[in-house]
Amino acid sequence: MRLDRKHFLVTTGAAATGAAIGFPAIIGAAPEPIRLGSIPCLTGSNALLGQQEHQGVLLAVEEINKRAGKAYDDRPIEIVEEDATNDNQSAVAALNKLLGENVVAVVNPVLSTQVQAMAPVMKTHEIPWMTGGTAVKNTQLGVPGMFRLRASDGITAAAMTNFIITDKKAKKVAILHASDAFGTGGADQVVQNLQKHGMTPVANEQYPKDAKDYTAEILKIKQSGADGLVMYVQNPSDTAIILKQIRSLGLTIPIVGSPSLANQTAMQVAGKDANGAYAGVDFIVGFNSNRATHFLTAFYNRFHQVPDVGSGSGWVYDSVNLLADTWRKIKSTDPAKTIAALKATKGWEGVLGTIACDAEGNMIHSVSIGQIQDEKLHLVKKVSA
Amino acid sequence: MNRRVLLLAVLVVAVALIPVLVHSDYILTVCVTAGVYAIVVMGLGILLGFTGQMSLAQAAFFGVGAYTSGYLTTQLGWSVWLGILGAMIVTGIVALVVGYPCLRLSGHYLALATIGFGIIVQLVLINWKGWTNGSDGMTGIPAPSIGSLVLDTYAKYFYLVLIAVVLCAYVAWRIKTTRVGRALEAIRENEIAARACGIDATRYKIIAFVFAGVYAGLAGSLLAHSTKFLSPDSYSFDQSVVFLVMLILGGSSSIGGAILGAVILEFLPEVLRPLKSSYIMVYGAAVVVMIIYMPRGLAGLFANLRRRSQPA
Amino acid sequence: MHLDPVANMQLLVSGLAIGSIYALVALGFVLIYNAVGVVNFAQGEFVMFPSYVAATFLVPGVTVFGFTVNWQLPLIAVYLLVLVVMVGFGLLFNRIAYYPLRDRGWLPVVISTIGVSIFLRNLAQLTWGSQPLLIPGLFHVDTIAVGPLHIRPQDLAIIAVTAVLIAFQYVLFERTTLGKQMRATAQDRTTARLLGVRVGRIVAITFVYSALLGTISGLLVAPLFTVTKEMGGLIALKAFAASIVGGFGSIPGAIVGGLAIGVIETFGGFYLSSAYVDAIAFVILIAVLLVRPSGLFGERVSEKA
Repeated sequence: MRLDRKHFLVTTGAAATGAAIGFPAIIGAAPEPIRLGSIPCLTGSNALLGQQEHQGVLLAVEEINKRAGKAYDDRPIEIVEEDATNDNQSAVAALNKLLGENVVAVVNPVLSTQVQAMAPVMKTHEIPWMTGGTAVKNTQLGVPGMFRLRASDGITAAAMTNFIITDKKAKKVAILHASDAFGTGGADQVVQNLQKHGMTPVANEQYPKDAKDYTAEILKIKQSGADGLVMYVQNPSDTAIILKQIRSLGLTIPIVGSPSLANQTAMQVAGKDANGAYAGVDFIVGFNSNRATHFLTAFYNRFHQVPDVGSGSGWVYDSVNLLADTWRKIKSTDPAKTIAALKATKGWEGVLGTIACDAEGNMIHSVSIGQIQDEKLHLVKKVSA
Repeated sequence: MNRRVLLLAVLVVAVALIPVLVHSDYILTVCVTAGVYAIVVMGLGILLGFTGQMSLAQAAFFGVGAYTSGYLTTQLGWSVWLGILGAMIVTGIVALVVGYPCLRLSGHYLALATIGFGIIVQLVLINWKGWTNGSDGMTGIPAPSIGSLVLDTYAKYFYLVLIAVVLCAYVAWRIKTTRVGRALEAIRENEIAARACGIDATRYKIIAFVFAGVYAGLAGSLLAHSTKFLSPDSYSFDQSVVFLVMLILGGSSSIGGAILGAVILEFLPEVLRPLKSSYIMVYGAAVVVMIIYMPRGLAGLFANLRRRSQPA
Repeated sequence: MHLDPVANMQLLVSGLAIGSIYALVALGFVLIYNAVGVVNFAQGEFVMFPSYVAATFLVPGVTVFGFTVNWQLPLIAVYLLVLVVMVGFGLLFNRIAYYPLRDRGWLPVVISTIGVSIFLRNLAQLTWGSQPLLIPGLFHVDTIAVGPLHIRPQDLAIIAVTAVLIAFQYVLFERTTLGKQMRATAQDRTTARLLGVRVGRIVAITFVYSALLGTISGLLVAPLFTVTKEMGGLIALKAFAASIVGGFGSIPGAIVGGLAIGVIETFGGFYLSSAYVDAIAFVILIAVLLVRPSGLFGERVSEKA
């Protein structure tokens, strides 16, 4: 173990020095692969997210390894992947396993609780950590190398709340959310934003994990006289069932949901019952940048399914590409240099939009509101923080 | 007997050498977790193995211990050691309050009552935000320190857990081999007969339940100060089921079996990781195979091996 | 909050529908418990697995082992096919998870059913992926308006099918030789064997029947709840609670327990707190158990070993 690490440090150091003084490759040896750690939840109840993240990382790495010069100086990227499961203890074990395998950066996870569980370990390892957990406090944990490649709940919840009040003219706003960290954290943000408008939610319903019947919650919202509903629900199956039951119980008020409402799977399963619902998402809907168009096509060709851009594959695809571009720019994978370079990121074009790093490591600062029609999200408006 | 003590001492020393020989944080994390789980499972062993009373609430006590310790140290600024002590006292009291009515039930009824208690505890952890910070989780839990020595690495923490495991095993062994243990065994074998012999079965069952709770509380507290983060999803019904499986596969009335069951089942999925996405499935199948082919658990398996290795 | 009769009716319909599902799954628990004296922790997978099999043949573009298939067979054909598959599943389950442990008391069997449950959930993920799947229900319309009420025809079908199955089970147990043999096995296996009942076969039939009850529950709820690998977990836990509160081993107990939990949960979620809805159900259960330790319909007998 020890020997490996020493050996590794020596060789990367040599490669970096070699690169710096203009000898791109070490003579007599194939360029050493860059070991990139990835830790999605591949099993357990969030496996759908994990699968999308796995695919996003895989696609990005395959593309980078195919292009001229690969990541940089002909060094390919090698994915070292461990399953974060859905339990904090195994997630930390998996992270320690990754860190023991000499990875130079870590991508994932997307669950805020796992990000927080891993944070104490990552504090002692100063390597770039590209995360997707949207809880506001994630980037305030004091982890030096942490970056967030998605919009924080603070931005998204504000956009959602403003939209339902200003654009949809709601006077009485109800909230429906899951009892997990994502749902409760998001709902808290919505409540705070309502307060800024001098409002309190007329109903704030939290449903328990694995609930299948939402009659009680929906009827309460109906009875509260709400004229607008904000939903913070991550699980695509829950989202679809709730949308179906809202329709079947005859609740017809405008709905705006968290990014996960416009999750591809949720839209497909909910079908026509999702029509008309709005979602605040952390990518610009219909944003026809070259990168976004390319990603959508490439993903479909590779995996024969439509990617989940926001919460699923898009942000990890951006993470890997941003890392690779940064390494290419500084001609090194040295963690401290990479972190410094990432912090200076400005105007980098990703799938999710234009990426710029703030003091806390937040990379995405704008969201858009889209409306679902026939399993597709259509742009309604762009919102910048 | 002396040979056995010597053997155990050698074993403990051998285990104590692990952090010296292995420098992987990964393996040491899994060791710490396995040791902590071993304490929970030993507690369950006192209740189920010694006394024959089922509980599927171990994860709940585990959580109560973790959160008590987390609250006392982060919110009230207590030292970690007092936090651990507080966690044990609080779980003991909760176990007493819950055990008193529930232990009138037995078998599947008791199992369901404890499942219900576990689910209620998890909901309280999620919803009682003022104390637990809800689903978002509790952060910033400190590591324990002795004087100026802060137990902030897995290697140092390993020894703390090892000492706790040894102490808990000793206490469990004392319980087993004294009057209390014989009373518990009598209740397990035949409660009506035990009562007829003048054993206050209710009292002894509650004692066993409180021990199970305190063990879980201690373990929860130990893990809290190692991972430094708590969230309610770790204390689910599924986790209680994992503890039960560990105990039964280890050998329910054996202290060594409880430890072995926890260690092996904690390491099994890690060993299977190279199988990628199918490893948890293989783990499930392994549980079925082990329960079929090892009738008395790992403890029984080892006893058989020892018998065979001794010349007739 | 004012008492709204329409809302109450709506809650009652939903409560009875979900309660019927609990009752159906609880019947499966009770049957196995009666036959072999153990709790089957894989009962939820008896609901999940057939739903996935059905989805394979019903959902357009479903992926199976990474291959996209597009069978979309007629609903009735798929129902029959799934029932046939689940007969084999029940036999196999009995053979693997129960039969080798039949003389070892209840705990080892509980552990082996837990192992099978973990295995099946992850097998499902490996086979069908992690996408939730939605299979069509019996009706083409989702909701019908009855006055101010919104009724889902599928809910009515669930309630009706449960009623029919309860009647069927009554006839089976009271009027047929097979049913009498099953009851005899449940009451006293040794005596049943002495009387010429082929106990092993009766136990196997019980597992098959229980698997079929799970299948029917799955096919009925999947159009409402979507097919996921976790779909059976909470249903099974609530159904276990239902069978206990009714008095473990009692068929009327399972039915009343299931319906009661469904209705209490729905009303509790509305009038008290939806965040604590699972706690409400379990607090009532524990209270019932403490007042009547053998359940509502249970006889005061000691548990089977």
